[in-house]
Amino acid sequence: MALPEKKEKTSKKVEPFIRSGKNAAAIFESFPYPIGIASRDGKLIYANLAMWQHMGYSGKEKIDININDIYANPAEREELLKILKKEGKAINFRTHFKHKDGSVYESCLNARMMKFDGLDCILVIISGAEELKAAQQELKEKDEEIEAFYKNSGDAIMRLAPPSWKFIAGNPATVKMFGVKNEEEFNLLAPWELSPEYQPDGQLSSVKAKEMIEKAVNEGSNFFEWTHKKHTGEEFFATVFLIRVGTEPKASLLAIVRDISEQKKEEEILRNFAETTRAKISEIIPTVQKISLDMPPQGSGEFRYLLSVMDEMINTLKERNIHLEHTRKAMASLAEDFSLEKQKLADSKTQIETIITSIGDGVIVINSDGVVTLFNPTAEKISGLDSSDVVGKKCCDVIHFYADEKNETPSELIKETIRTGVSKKLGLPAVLKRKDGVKVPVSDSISPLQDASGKILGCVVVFSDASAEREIDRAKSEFVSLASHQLRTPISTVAWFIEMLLSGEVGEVNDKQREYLEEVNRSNQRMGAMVSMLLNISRIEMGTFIIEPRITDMEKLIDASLASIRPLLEKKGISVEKKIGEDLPLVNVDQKLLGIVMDNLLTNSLSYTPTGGKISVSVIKNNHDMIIEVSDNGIGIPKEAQPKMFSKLFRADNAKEIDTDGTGIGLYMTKSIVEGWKGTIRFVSPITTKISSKGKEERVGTSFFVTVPLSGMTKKEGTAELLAK
Amino acid sequence: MENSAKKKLLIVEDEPSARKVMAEKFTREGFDVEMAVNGEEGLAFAIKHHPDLVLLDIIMPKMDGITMLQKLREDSDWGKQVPVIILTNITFDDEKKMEHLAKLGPECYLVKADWKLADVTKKVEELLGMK
Repeated sequence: MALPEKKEKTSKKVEPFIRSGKNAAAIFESFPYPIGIASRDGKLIYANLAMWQHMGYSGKEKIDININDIYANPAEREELLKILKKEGKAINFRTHFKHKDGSVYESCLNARMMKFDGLDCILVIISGAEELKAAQQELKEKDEEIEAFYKNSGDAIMRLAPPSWKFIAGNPATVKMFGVKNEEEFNLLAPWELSPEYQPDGQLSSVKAKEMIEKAVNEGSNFFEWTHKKHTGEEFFATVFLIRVGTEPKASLLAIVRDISEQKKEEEILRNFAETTRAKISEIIPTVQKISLDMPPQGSGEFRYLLSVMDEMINTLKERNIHLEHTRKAMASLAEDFSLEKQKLADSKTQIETIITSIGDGVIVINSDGVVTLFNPTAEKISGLDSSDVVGKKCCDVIHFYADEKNETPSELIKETIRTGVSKKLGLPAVLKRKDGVKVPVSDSISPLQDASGKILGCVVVFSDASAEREIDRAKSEFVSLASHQLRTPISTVAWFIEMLLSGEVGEVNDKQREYLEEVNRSNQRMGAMVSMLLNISRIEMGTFIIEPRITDMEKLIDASLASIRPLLEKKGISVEKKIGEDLPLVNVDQKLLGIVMDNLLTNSLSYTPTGGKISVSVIKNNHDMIIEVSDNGIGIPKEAQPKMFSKLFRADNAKEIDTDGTGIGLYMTKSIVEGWKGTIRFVSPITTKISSKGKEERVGTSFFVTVPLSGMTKKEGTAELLAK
Repeated sequence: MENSAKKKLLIVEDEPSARKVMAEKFTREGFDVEMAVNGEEGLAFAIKHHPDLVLLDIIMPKMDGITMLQKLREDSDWGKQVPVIILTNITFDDEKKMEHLAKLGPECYLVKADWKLADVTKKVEELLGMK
């Protein structure tokens, strides 16, 4: 826009109107340019809307403004007035106004002297205000940009001023880069003062620096590398960019310095890497050339190198692959083994389950907590319980075994087995209470389940319905009773007839007759004794004999036993020695059973001791037991016979010689009875040896030892008492 | 002596030999001896003739001794109190049977094979308050 021209035009056009003030105002208002009329003494008489806006007012204020308030610099106004006085007008006068917001801005105006309502005034028209403003704004923004850049740049930006080319300004980065305290310290230092004495190329810094500066001044700019030195003394690499600003001779230099120490380091690394790589390649190339002989020389050595690297990788991969394959095969075979074992286990589990399911006995598996884990079909059948009633529940809550029919307290043996790990048996007359309440006879055994370390995992109860067995037993004992009745009938009949005969009631009997009758009697009695023995054995074998302990004075009992064999003792002239321990207490024993045992031992001693011999009986005690000893100085028991002494129907050879009547049942029965009361029986033979008249070594004597627990015999229910002789 | 009249004994026994020897003995001892060969006969006779004492065997055909004793006891007041000696060769293992028998109130249970006839006689005389 040709500012001056337009203004001229406006001024010419305006002049004739000005004379009529009101009209003038109307015209002025329509002009886009700020127009103001001020009196000579500085009062703003009139301003159009554009002027008001230019000054920062909305135009509606219509406040009194003194021109001096508008002019930022009074001196400038003075100058304008001077020009106006001299020339009557001012064209493109640059001045500074104060904006309403206080900021100062440059304006370009045209001014004329004029008369307004008869007053001498100055007409001011601001020209190019908008463009100027925009340009100013742009400049302002640019300034701000530059300011920001200057402040925030990581690069050092400084000014060097001629002729000394010392630093006159530096941004914060400069302060940091050169290690100075602040800008002030930085100022008035020359570039070579912030450098080592010599540059890397050997030149003196002061000399080279001036060279660089001159080049920048002459050519407008210069970019070069430089080694600087911090104020602290540390040297660093930098790039320097010098820019000429302004024109000769006033041109100064703008310097932008960048610290490239990091960059230099990276360059070093890269350089080294490149060197190393180059060295490696030159090493490998001969090898590669050897390997790739049959390969057409494709391309460069680098290509062949790459191929060899690939080759190596492929080989490694191949090896790894083989290894993996081996591992995979091993694992596959392991998995196979596992699945085989699993299968075996499953098979044997199935086997066991099949057996358990189909077994003819009831099977209950109980874990260490006493909870039922298995209840097989036979168990269901016998008990009338469904496995769903019992499995998962505590055994003692749902299954009840009793020691015998009369017992109301369920057996605790299952708990015992789990606790102690010892097998238990519930023999007859044990019963199991069925679901319907009926007590069914059972025989059961309880075995602990243990793992390899012996830890108790639970137990297995195997039981069977013993009703049939019991029936058989009952039938057996009935048969025995009947048989014994049948056998005894003729025996008793014969005995009575002989009694009658011997009594003389049915006629006199001569000596010979008497003798014979007595022989018959004896045979008959023996038969009777044997039948009694038979009965007792059967009772022992069935475990049905009773034990009824009573508080007993052992001495009295021994006396009674000895008394019963007195006639025989006297007949054979055998002496008896009796020893009863002083501290022997009264004990709880079944007198009948003890009597049977004593009779047996004494009778044996009697039988196998020759005339004039000696039998001794003693009763003593130790911590646990009462020990009864029956000893003789008779023929003793031969070594070969000793293991068989307690077996049924056995008689040692030497005994057969003496007493052909002994049936050998006695010791078997005696042992059964003793064990029935939880005692023990043993013997020692010979007690001594002697040289006989014939010069042979002879055994002498036998001792039998029978124990009875000091705690006494336990009462035992049974179905029958044993018969005394 | 309470009574000079002969005491009446009823012997219930199925074995002829035993009957023979018992009859001989008790007659000699001054008893009035009556015989029955089984429980049925024995019961009938006892009810009819009220013996002073009954010697009762157990194992017999038609009716055994236990049954006869039971019926005897149930029969009448007399039946309840008449002294009975079980004289038998059998010994029962069955506790229940023995208990049942014991409840019927025999005076004693004598095993023939273990008792001399003379001792049986003594027992009879004892129970009848004789001698």
